[in-house]
Amino acid sequence: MSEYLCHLFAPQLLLGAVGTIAVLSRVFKENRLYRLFEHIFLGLALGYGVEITWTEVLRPQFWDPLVAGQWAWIMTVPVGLMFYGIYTRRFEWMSRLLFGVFFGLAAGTVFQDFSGGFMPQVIKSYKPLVPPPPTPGDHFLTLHAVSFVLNNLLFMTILFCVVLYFLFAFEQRNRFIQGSARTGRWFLMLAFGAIFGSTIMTRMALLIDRMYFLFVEWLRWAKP
Amino acid sequence: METSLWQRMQTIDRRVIYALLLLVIIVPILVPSLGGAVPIIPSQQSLDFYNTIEGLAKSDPERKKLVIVDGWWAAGTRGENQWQEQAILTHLMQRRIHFATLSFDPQNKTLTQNIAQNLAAKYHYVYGQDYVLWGYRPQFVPTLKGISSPNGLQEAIKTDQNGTPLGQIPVMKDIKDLKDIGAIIEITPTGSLGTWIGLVQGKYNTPLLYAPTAVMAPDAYPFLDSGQVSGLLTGVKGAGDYEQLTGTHTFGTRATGALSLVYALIIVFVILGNVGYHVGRAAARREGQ
Repeated sequence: MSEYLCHLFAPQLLLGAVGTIAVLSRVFKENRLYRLFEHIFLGLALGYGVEITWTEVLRPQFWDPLVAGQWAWIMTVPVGLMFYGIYTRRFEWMSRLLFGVFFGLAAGTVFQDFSGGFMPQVIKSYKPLVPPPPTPGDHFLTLHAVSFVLNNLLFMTILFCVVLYFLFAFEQRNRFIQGSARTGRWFLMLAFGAIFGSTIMTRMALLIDRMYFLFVEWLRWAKP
Repeated sequence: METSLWQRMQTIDRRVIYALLLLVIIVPILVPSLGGAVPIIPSQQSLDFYNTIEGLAKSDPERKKLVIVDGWWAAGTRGENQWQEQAILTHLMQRRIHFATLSFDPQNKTLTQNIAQNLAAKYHYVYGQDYVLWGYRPQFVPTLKGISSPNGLQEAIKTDQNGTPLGQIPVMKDIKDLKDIGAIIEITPTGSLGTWIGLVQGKYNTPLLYAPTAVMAPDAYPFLDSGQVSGLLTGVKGAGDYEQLTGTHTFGTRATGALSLVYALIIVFVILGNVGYHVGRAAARREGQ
Protein backbone atom coordinates (compact mmCIF):
# COMPACT_ATOMS: atom_id res chain seq x y z
CA MET A 1 0.00 0.00 0.00
CA SER A 2 1.33 3.42 -0.91
CA GLU A 3 2.39 5.91 1.76
CA TYR A 4 -0.62 8.11 0.93
CA LEU A 5 -3.11 5.26 1.42
CA CYS A 6 -1.42 4.28 4.70
CA HIS A 7 -1.87 7.88 5.86
CA LEU A 8 -5.48 8.00 4.65
CA PHE A 9 -6.43 4.83 6.54
CA ALA A 10 -4.42 5.52 9.70
CA PRO A 11 -7.07 4.73 12.38
CA GLN A 12 -6.64 7.95 14.36
CA LEU A 13 -7.09 10.21 11.31
CA LEU A 14 -9.75 8.06 9.66
CA LEU A 15 -11.91 8.02 12.78
CA GLY A 16 -11.51 11.78 13.17
CA ALA A 17 -12.48 12.35 9.53
CA VAL A 18 -15.49 10.02 9.57
CA GLY A 19 -16.61 11.54 12.90
CA THR A 20 -16.34 15.06 11.48
CA ILE A 21 -18.29 14.18 8.32
CA ALA A 22 -20.93 12.31 10.34
CA VAL A 23 -21.53 15.23 12.70
CA LEU A 24 -21.56 17.83 9.92
CA SER A 25 -24.00 15.71 7.88
CA ARG A 26 -26.80 16.80 10.18
CA VAL A 27 -26.93 20.30 8.72
CA PHE A 28 -28.19 18.76 5.48
CA LYS A 29 -30.52 16.16 6.99
CA GLU A 30 -31.13 14.25 10.20
CA ASN A 31 -29.63 10.78 9.67
CA ARG A 32 -28.58 7.57 11.43
CA LEU A 33 -24.85 8.11 10.94
CA TYR A 34 -25.11 11.39 12.84
CA ARG A 35 -27.09 9.71 15.65
CA LEU A 36 -24.52 6.90 15.86
CA PHE A 37 -21.60 9.30 16.20
CA GLU A 38 -23.50 11.50 18.63
CA HIS A 39 -23.82 8.49 20.93
CA ILE A 40 -20.18 7.49 20.36
CA PHE A 41 -19.06 11.01 21.35
CA LEU A 42 -21.22 10.99 24.45
CA GLY A 43 -19.85 7.60 25.51
CA LEU A 44 -16.28 8.70 24.80
CA ALA A 45 -16.72 11.90 26.79
CA LEU A 46 -18.12 10.02 29.76
CA GLY A 47 -15.40 7.38 29.68
CA TYR A 48 -12.73 10.04 29.28
CA GLY A 49 -14.16 11.99 32.21
CA VAL A 50 -14.08 8.95 34.48
CA GLU A 51 -10.53 8.06 33.44
CA ILE A 52 -9.27 11.63 33.88
CA THR A 53 -10.93 11.98 37.29
CA TRP A 54 -8.98 8.94 38.45
CA THR A 55 -5.61 9.51 36.75
CA GLU A 56 -5.37 13.30 37.13
CA VAL A 57 -7.28 14.01 40.34
CA LEU A 58 -8.03 11.11 42.66
CA ARG A 59 -4.89 9.04 42.17
CA PRO A 60 -2.22 11.78 42.44
CA GLN A 61 -4.04 13.90 45.03
CA PHE A 62 -5.71 11.26 47.19
CA TRP A 63 -4.72 7.64 46.54
CA ASP A 64 -0.94 7.99 46.07
CA PRO A 65 -0.40 10.07 49.26
CA LEU A 66 -2.72 7.70 51.14
CA VAL A 67 -0.81 4.52 50.23
CA ALA A 68 2.48 6.37 50.80
CA GLY A 69 1.54 6.60 54.47
CA GLN A 70 -0.39 9.88 54.73
CA TRP A 71 -3.35 8.16 56.38
CA ALA A 72 -5.09 11.41 57.33
CA TRP A 73 -6.37 11.59 53.73
CA ILE A 74 -8.84 8.81 54.63
CA MET A 75 -10.77 11.46 56.60
CA THR A 76 -11.76 13.12 53.33
CA VAL A 77 -13.95 10.10 52.45
CA PRO A 78 -16.59 10.52 55.21
CA VAL A 79 -16.45 14.30 54.72
CA GLY A 80 -17.07 13.87 50.99
CA LEU A 81 -19.87 11.39 51.66
CA MET A 82 -21.65 14.06 53.71
CA PHE A 83 -22.63 15.72 50.42
CA TYR A 84 -24.90 12.75 49.67
CA GLY A 85 -26.92 13.53 52.79
CA ILE A 86 -28.93 15.87 50.55
CA TYR A 87 -30.85 12.83 49.24
CA THR A 88 -32.40 11.95 52.65
CA ARG A 89 -34.41 14.17 55.00
CA ARG A 90 -32.72 12.67 58.05
CA PHE A 91 -29.14 13.50 57.01
CA GLU A 92 -29.82 16.62 54.94
CA TRP A 93 -28.17 18.77 57.64
CA MET A 94 -24.84 17.07 56.91
CA SER A 95 -24.77 18.35 53.34
CA ARG A 96 -25.78 21.84 54.55
CA LEU A 97 -22.67 21.99 56.74
CA LEU A 98 -20.44 21.40 53.73
CA PHE A 99 -22.40 23.72 51.45
CA GLY A 100 -22.10 26.42 54.12
CA VAL A 101 -18.33 26.03 54.23
CA PHE A 102 -18.06 26.14 50.44
CA PHE A 103 -20.39 29.15 50.15
CA GLY A 104 -18.22 31.00 52.65
CA LEU A 105 -15.03 30.14 50.78
CA ALA A 106 -16.55 31.11 47.44
CA ALA A 107 -18.01 34.37 48.79
CA GLY A 108 -14.64 35.41 50.23
CA THR A 109 -12.90 34.66 46.95
CA VAL A 110 -15.54 36.46 44.90
CA PHE A 111 -15.16 39.55 47.10
CA GLN A 112 -11.39 39.56 46.61
CA ASP A 113 -11.89 38.84 42.93
CA PHE A 114 -14.43 41.66 42.55
CA SER A 115 -12.47 44.33 44.39
CA GLY A 116 -9.24 43.45 42.56
CA GLY A 117 -10.91 43.14 39.18
CA PHE A 118 -13.52 45.88 39.07
CA MET A 119 -12.28 48.72 41.27
CA PRO A 120 -9.56 49.76 38.75
CA GLN A 121 -12.29 49.81 36.08
CA VAL A 122 -14.54 52.02 38.18
CA ILE A 123 -11.64 54.42 38.75
CA LYS A 124 -10.72 54.44 35.04
CA SER A 125 -14.34 55.17 34.10
CA TYR A 126 -13.85 58.79 35.10
CA LYS A 127 -11.99 60.10 32.12
CA PRO A 128 -10.59 63.63 31.89
CA LEU A 129 -12.24 65.99 29.44
CA VAL A 130 -9.23 68.32 29.42
CA PRO A 131 -6.40 67.25 27.08
CA PRO A 132 -3.01 66.39 28.64
CA PRO A 133 -0.02 68.76 28.20
CA PRO A 134 1.23 68.69 24.60
CA THR A 135 4.10 66.38 23.64
CA PRO A 136 7.08 68.38 22.30
CA GLY A 137 7.40 68.05 18.55
CA ASP A 138 3.82 66.89 17.99
CA HIS A 139 2.84 68.19 14.55
CA PHE A 140 -0.85 67.29 15.01
CA LEU A 141 -1.29 68.94 18.38
CA THR A 142 -4.80 70.32 17.83
CA LEU A 143 -6.03 67.13 16.16
CA HIS A 144 -4.74 64.95 19.04
CA ALA A 145 -6.25 67.27 21.63
CA VAL A 146 -9.65 67.33 19.89
CA SER A 147 -9.70 63.52 19.41
CA PHE A 148 -8.76 63.05 23.07
CA VAL A 149 -11.64 65.21 24.27
CA LEU A 150 -14.14 63.71 21.80
CA ASN A 151 -13.16 60.14 22.67
CA ASN A 152 -13.53 60.71 26.38
CA LEU A 153 -16.73 62.70 25.95
CA LEU A 154 -18.23 59.87 23.89
CA PHE A 155 -17.15 57.35 26.54
CA MET A 156 -18.65 59.38 29.37
CA THR A 157 -21.91 59.96 27.46
CA ILE A 158 -22.33 56.24 26.74
CA LEU A 159 -21.47 55.36 30.33
CA PHE A 160 -24.02 57.88 31.64
CA CYS A 161 -26.81 56.69 29.30
CA VAL A 162 -26.23 52.97 29.96
CA VAL A 163 -26.02 53.39 33.74
CA LEU A 164 -29.20 55.49 33.61
CA TYR A 165 -30.99 52.70 31.73
CA PHE A 166 -30.28 50.35 34.65
CA LEU A 167 -31.62 52.74 37.30
CA PHE A 168 -34.90 51.07 38.24
CA ALA A 169 -35.18 52.59 41.72
CA PHE A 170 -37.52 55.36 40.52
CA GLU A 171 -39.98 55.85 37.69
CA GLN A 172 -38.34 57.60 34.76
CA ARG A 173 -40.80 60.41 33.99
CA ASN A 174 -38.43 63.24 33.11
CA ARG A 175 -38.06 63.55 29.33
CA PHE A 176 -34.28 64.04 29.54
CA ILE A 177 -33.89 60.91 31.68
CA GLN A 178 -36.26 58.92 29.46
CA GLY A 179 -34.35 59.97 26.33
CA SER A 180 -30.96 59.22 27.89
CA ALA A 181 -32.12 55.79 29.08
CA ARG A 182 -33.52 55.01 25.62
CA THR A 183 -30.19 56.06 24.08
CA GLY A 184 -28.45 53.80 26.61
CA ARG A 185 -30.60 50.91 25.41
CA TRP A 186 -29.54 51.62 21.81
CA PHE A 187 -25.88 51.62 22.83
CA LEU A 188 -26.44 48.28 24.53
CA MET A 189 -28.05 46.91 21.35
CA LEU A 190 -25.02 48.04 19.35
CA ALA A 191 -22.74 46.26 21.82
CA PHE A 192 -24.84 43.08 21.63
CA GLY A 193 -24.62 43.24 17.83
CA ALA A 194 -20.81 43.43 18.03
CA ILE A 195 -20.78 40.50 20.47
CA PHE A 196 -22.98 38.49 18.10
CA GLY A 197 -20.53 39.23 15.29
CA SER A 198 -17.76 37.77 17.45
CA THR A 199 -19.92 34.71 18.14
CA ILE A 200 -20.22 34.10 14.40
CA MET A 201 -16.44 34.45 14.10
CA THR A 202 -15.91 31.66 16.63
CA ARG A 203 -18.42 29.32 14.97
CA MET A 204 -16.92 29.93 11.54
CA ALA A 205 -13.36 29.52 12.82
CA LEU A 206 -14.29 26.10 14.21
CA LEU A 207 -15.82 25.12 10.86
CA ILE A 208 -12.75 26.39 8.98
CA ASP A 209 -10.56 24.29 11.29
CA ARG A 210 -12.63 21.17 10.57
CA MET A 211 -12.33 21.79 6.82
CA TYR A 212 -8.58 22.28 7.27
CA PHE A 213 -8.43 18.95 9.10
CA LEU A 214 -10.37 17.15 6.35
CA PHE A 215 -8.74 18.64 3.28
CA VAL A 216 -5.20 19.43 4.44
CA GLU A 217 -4.36 17.18 7.38
CA TRP A 218 -6.31 14.12 6.21
CA LEU A 219 -6.73 14.24 2.42
CA ARG A 220 -3.54 16.30 1.93
CA TRP A 221 -5.01 18.22 -0.98
CA ALA A 222 -2.84 21.18 -0.03
CA LYS A 223 0.40 21.70 1.88
CA PRO A 224 0.02 22.41 5.62
CA MET B 1 -49.75 33.19 -8.19
CA GLU B 2 -46.39 33.93 -9.77
CA THR B 3 -43.57 34.50 -7.30
CA SER B 4 -41.09 37.28 -7.92
CA LEU B 5 -37.30 36.96 -7.73
CA TRP B 6 -37.26 38.75 -4.39
CA GLN B 7 -39.88 36.42 -2.95
CA ARG B 8 -37.86 33.43 -4.14
CA MET B 9 -34.86 34.95 -2.31
CA GLN B 10 -36.83 34.46 0.91
CA THR B 11 -37.14 30.74 0.34
CA ILE B 12 -33.63 29.72 -0.74
CA ASP B 13 -32.96 26.15 0.39
CA ARG B 14 -30.67 26.37 3.41
CA ARG B 15 -28.52 23.61 1.90
CA VAL B 16 -27.61 25.95 -0.97
CA ILE B 17 -26.42 28.49 1.61
CA TYR B 18 -24.40 25.79 3.43
CA ALA B 19 -22.84 24.65 0.15
CA LEU B 20 -21.80 28.21 -0.71
CA LEU B 21 -20.42 28.66 2.79
CA LEU B 22 -18.32 25.50 2.48
CA LEU B 23 -17.08 26.68 -0.91
CA VAL B 24 -15.81 30.04 0.38
CA ILE B 25 -14.08 28.21 3.23
CA ILE B 26 -12.50 25.37 1.27
CA VAL B 27 -11.14 27.39 -1.67
CA PRO B 28 -8.85 29.71 0.40
CA ILE B 29 -7.70 26.71 2.44
CA LEU B 30 -6.68 24.76 -0.67
CA VAL B 31 -5.38 27.82 -2.52
CA PRO B 32 -3.64 29.89 0.19
CA SER B 33 -2.67 32.59 -2.32
CA LEU B 34 -6.39 33.35 -2.76
CA GLY B 35 -6.93 33.85 0.97
CA GLY B 36 -3.64 35.75 1.09
CA ALA B 37 -5.09 38.26 -1.36
CA VAL B 38 -7.15 39.58 1.56
CA PRO B 39 -4.67 41.74 3.51
CA ILE B 40 -4.20 40.94 7.22
CA ILE B 41 -3.80 44.17 9.14
CA PRO B 42 -2.91 43.41 12.80
CA SER B 43 -5.29 45.09 15.23
CA GLN B 44 -3.99 47.48 17.89
CA GLN B 45 -4.72 44.87 20.59
CA SER B 46 -2.64 42.24 18.74
CA LEU B 47 0.18 44.79 18.35
CA ASP B 48 0.01 45.52 22.09
CA PHE B 49 0.26 41.77 22.79
CA TYR B 50 3.29 41.48 20.51
CA ASN B 51 4.97 44.61 21.89
CA THR B 52 4.55 43.42 25.49
CA ILE B 53 6.53 40.25 24.68
CA GLU B 54 9.10 42.27 22.73
CA GLY B 55 9.42 44.65 25.69
CA LEU B 56 9.94 41.73 28.05
CA ALA B 57 12.69 40.33 25.81
CA LYS B 58 14.49 43.70 25.95
CA SER B 59 13.96 44.44 29.64
CA ASP B 60 15.16 41.03 30.83
CA PRO B 61 18.28 40.21 28.75
CA GLU B 62 19.55 37.65 31.28
CA ARG B 63 16.26 35.75 31.10
CA LYS B 64 15.75 35.74 34.85
CA LYS B 65 11.99 35.98 34.53
CA LEU B 66 9.50 33.36 33.47
CA VAL B 67 6.31 33.69 31.43
CA ILE B 68 3.32 31.61 32.53
CA VAL B 69 1.28 30.30 29.58
CA ASP B 70 -2.03 29.17 30.98
CA GLY B 71 -4.31 27.06 28.76
CA TRP B 72 -7.90 26.15 29.47
CA TRP B 73 -8.81 25.07 25.97
CA ALA B 74 -9.45 21.57 24.68
CA ALA B 75 -10.11 19.91 21.31
CA GLY B 76 -13.49 21.67 21.01
CA THR B 77 -11.88 25.09 20.40
CA ARG B 78 -8.78 23.85 18.59
CA GLY B 79 -9.84 25.98 15.60
CA GLU B 80 -8.96 29.15 17.49
CA ASN B 81 -6.92 28.42 20.61
CA GLN B 82 -4.44 25.91 19.18
CA TRP B 83 -3.27 28.36 16.52
CA GLN B 84 -3.09 31.19 19.03
CA GLU B 85 -0.94 29.06 21.32
CA GLN B 86 1.28 27.97 18.45
CA ALA B 87 1.84 31.58 17.35
CA ILE B 88 2.51 32.76 20.93
CA LEU B 89 4.96 29.96 21.79
CA THR B 90 6.72 30.59 18.46
CA HIS B 91 7.25 34.23 19.45
CA LEU B 92 8.50 33.29 22.93
CA MET B 93 10.97 30.83 21.42
CA GLN B 94 12.10 33.29 18.74
CA ARG B 95 13.01 35.72 21.53
CA ARG B 96 14.49 32.94 23.76
CA ILE B 97 12.11 33.81 26.61
CA HIS B 98 11.73 31.15 29.30
CA PHE B 99 8.20 29.94 29.91
CA ALA B 100 6.10 27.48 31.87
CA THR B 101 2.80 26.03 30.69
CA LEU B 102 -0.10 25.44 33.01
CA SER B 103 -3.34 23.63 32.13
CA PHE B 104 -6.69 23.82 33.85
CA ASP B 105 -8.22 21.33 31.42
CA PRO B 106 -6.91 17.76 31.32
CA GLN B 107 -6.99 17.62 27.50
CA ASN B 108 -5.01 20.83 27.35
CA LYS B 109 -2.03 19.18 29.03
CA THR B 110 -1.48 16.84 26.08
CA LEU B 111 -2.39 19.37 23.39
CA THR B 112 -0.01 21.99 24.84
CA GLN B 113 2.75 19.41 25.24
CA ASN B 114 2.44 18.48 21.54
CA ILE B 115 2.68 22.11 20.41
CA ALA B 116 5.57 22.94 22.77
CA GLN B 117 7.60 19.85 21.84
CA ASN B 118 7.14 20.35 18.08
CA LEU B 119 8.25 23.98 18.31
CA ALA B 120 11.06 23.18 20.77
CA ALA B 121 12.61 20.83 18.21
CA LYS B 122 12.49 23.60 15.61
CA TYR B 123 13.86 26.39 17.83
CA HIS B 124 16.30 24.19 19.81
CA TYR B 125 14.57 24.76 23.12
CA VAL B 126 15.68 22.40 25.86
CA TYR B 127 13.14 21.06 28.33
CA GLY B 128 13.96 22.08 31.88
CA GLN B 129 16.50 24.70 30.81
CA ASP B 130 14.37 26.92 28.54
CA TYR B 131 10.84 25.82 29.31
CA VAL B 132 8.86 23.60 31.63
CA LEU B 133 5.44 21.97 31.45
CA TRP B 134 3.68 22.27 34.79
CA GLY B 135 0.80 20.12 33.56
CA TYR B 136 -2.80 19.89 34.67
CA ARG B 137 -4.12 21.35 37.92
CA PRO B 138 -7.74 20.57 38.79
CA GLN B 139 -8.17 23.41 41.31
CA PHE B 140 -8.22 26.80 39.64
CA VAL B 141 -8.73 29.27 42.50
CA PRO B 142 -6.40 27.57 45.06
CA THR B 143 -3.67 27.35 42.41
CA LEU B 144 -4.01 31.04 41.58
CA LYS B 145 -3.97 31.99 45.24
CA GLY B 146 -0.83 29.87 45.73
CA ILE B 147 0.91 31.49 42.76
CA SER B 148 0.14 34.98 44.05
CA SER B 149 1.19 34.35 47.66
CA PRO B 150 4.70 35.47 48.76
CA ASN B 151 7.25 32.74 47.95
CA GLY B 152 4.29 30.43 47.32
CA LEU B 153 4.70 29.58 43.65
CA GLN B 154 6.81 26.44 44.05
CA GLU B 155 4.59 25.27 46.91
CA ALA B 156 1.47 25.78 44.78
CA ILE B 157 2.77 23.93 41.72
CA LYS B 158 5.18 21.49 43.46
CA THR B 159 6.14 19.34 40.42
CA ASP B 160 6.16 19.47 36.65
CA GLN B 161 3.87 17.17 34.69
CA ASN B 162 6.40 14.33 34.85
CA GLY B 163 6.46 14.49 38.66
CA THR B 164 9.90 16.14 38.93
CA PRO B 165 10.03 18.61 41.87
CA LEU B 166 10.29 22.19 40.59
CA GLY B 167 13.42 22.80 42.72
CA GLN B 168 15.30 20.27 40.58
CA ILE B 169 14.40 21.96 37.27
CA PRO B 170 17.04 24.57 36.23
CA VAL B 171 14.58 27.02 34.65
CA MET B 172 12.60 27.13 37.91
CA LYS B 173 15.62 27.63 40.18
CA ASP B 174 15.14 31.35 40.87
CA ILE B 175 11.38 31.51 40.36
CA LYS B 176 9.88 31.88 43.81
CA ASP B 177 6.77 34.01 43.41
CA LEU B 178 4.87 36.44 41.24
CA LYS B 179 7.71 39.00 41.30
CA ASP B 180 9.74 36.57 39.17
CA ILE B 181 7.01 36.31 36.53
CA GLY B 182 7.49 38.53 33.47
CA ALA B 183 3.99 38.06 32.05
CA ILE B 184 0.97 35.82 32.24
CA ILE B 185 -0.64 34.60 29.03
CA GLU B 186 -4.16 33.23 29.26
CA ILE B 187 -5.38 31.14 26.28
CA THR B 188 -8.94 30.07 26.89
CA PRO B 189 -12.53 29.77 25.74
CA THR B 190 -13.74 30.21 29.34
CA GLY B 191 -14.51 33.26 31.46
CA SER B 192 -11.46 32.83 33.68
CA LEU B 193 -9.94 36.22 32.89
CA GLY B 194 -11.67 38.05 35.74
CA THR B 195 -10.28 35.62 38.32
CA TRP B 196 -6.73 35.98 36.98
CA ILE B 197 -7.10 39.76 37.22
CA GLY B 198 -8.78 39.74 40.63
CA LEU B 199 -6.48 37.26 42.36
CA VAL B 200 -3.15 37.55 40.53
CA GLN B 201 -2.59 40.40 38.06
CA GLY B 202 -3.44 43.27 40.40
CA LYS B 203 -0.95 42.23 43.05
CA TYR B 204 2.19 43.49 41.28
CA ASN B 205 0.59 44.71 38.03
CA THR B 206 2.10 41.74 36.19
CA PRO B 207 1.34 42.13 32.45
CA LEU B 208 -1.60 39.90 31.57
CA LEU B 209 -2.06 38.92 27.93
CA TYR B 210 -5.34 37.38 26.84
CA ALA B 211 -5.99 35.04 23.91
CA PRO B 212 -9.64 33.98 24.02
CA THR B 213 -12.03 32.58 21.44
CA ALA B 214 -13.63 35.42 19.49
CA VAL B 215 -16.94 34.99 21.32
CA MET B 216 -15.23 35.77 24.64
CA ALA B 217 -13.16 38.70 23.38
CA PRO B 218 -15.75 41.49 23.94
CA ASP B 219 -15.65 40.69 27.67
CA ALA B 220 -12.01 41.78 27.74
CA TYR B 221 -12.42 45.27 26.28
CA PRO B 222 -13.18 47.02 29.60
CA PHE B 223 -10.06 45.39 31.06
CA LEU B 224 -8.00 46.58 28.09
CA ASP B 225 -9.27 50.11 28.59
CA SER B 226 -8.36 50.07 32.28
CA GLY B 227 -4.89 48.66 31.54
CA GLN B 228 -5.48 45.43 33.48
CA VAL B 229 -5.06 43.44 30.26
CA SER B 230 -1.99 44.43 28.22
CA GLY B 231 -2.89 42.76 24.91
CA LEU B 232 -5.61 40.72 23.25
CA LEU B 233 -5.63 38.14 20.45
CA THR B 234 -9.20 37.76 19.22
CA GLY B 235 -9.79 34.19 18.08
CA VAL B 236 -8.29 32.94 14.87
CA LYS B 237 -8.03 36.52 13.53
CA GLY B 238 -5.69 37.19 16.46
CA ALA B 239 -3.69 34.09 15.53
CA GLY B 240 -3.49 35.38 11.94
CA ASP B 241 -2.36 38.81 13.20
CA TYR B 242 0.33 37.21 15.34
CA GLU B 243 1.57 35.00 12.51
CA GLN B 244 1.85 38.15 10.43
CA LEU B 245 3.87 39.88 13.18
CA THR B 246 6.18 36.92 13.84
CA GLY B 247 6.62 36.10 10.15
CA THR B 248 5.24 32.58 10.38
CA HIS B 249 2.37 31.80 8.06
CA THR B 250 0.36 28.70 8.96
CA PHE B 251 -3.29 28.02 9.62
CA GLY B 252 -4.03 31.40 11.21
CA THR B 253 -3.14 33.27 8.01
CA ARG B 254 -5.23 30.95 5.82
CA ALA B 255 -8.14 30.96 8.22
CA THR B 256 -8.19 34.76 8.41
CA GLY B 257 -8.47 34.91 4.61
CA ALA B 258 -11.30 32.37 4.65
CA LEU B 259 -12.99 34.21 7.51
CA SER B 260 -13.00 37.48 5.53
CA LEU B 261 -14.72 35.74 2.61
CA VAL B 262 -17.24 34.08 4.97
CA TYR B 263 -18.12 37.46 6.48
CA ALA B 264 -18.50 38.95 2.99
CA LEU B 265 -20.88 36.11 2.06
CA ILE B 266 -22.92 36.53 5.26
CA ILE B 267 -23.21 40.29 4.66
CA VAL B 268 -24.41 39.67 1.08
CA PHE B 269 -27.03 37.19 2.35
CA VAL B 270 -28.18 39.57 5.08
CA ILE B 271 -28.62 42.37 2.51
CA LEU B 272 -30.41 40.09 0.01
CA GLY B 273 -32.65 38.68 2.72
CA ASN B 274 -33.64 42.10 4.03
CA VAL B 275 -34.22 43.63 0.60
CA GLY B 276 -36.26 40.55 -0.40
CA TYR B 277 -38.31 40.81 2.78
CA HIS B 278 -39.15 44.50 2.33
CA VAL B 279 -39.84 44.21 -1.42
CA GLY B 280 -42.05 41.15 -0.78
CA ARG B 281 -43.94 42.99 1.94
CA ALA B 282 -44.48 46.03 -0.28
CA ALA B 283 -45.77 43.79 -3.08
CA ALA B 284 -48.15 42.03 -0.69
CA ARG B 285 -49.44 45.41 0.51
CA ARG B 286 -50.10 46.51 -3.09
CA GLU B 287 -51.96 43.28 -3.81
CA GLY B 288 -54.03 43.80 -0.67
CA GLN B 289 -55.06 47.26 -1.87
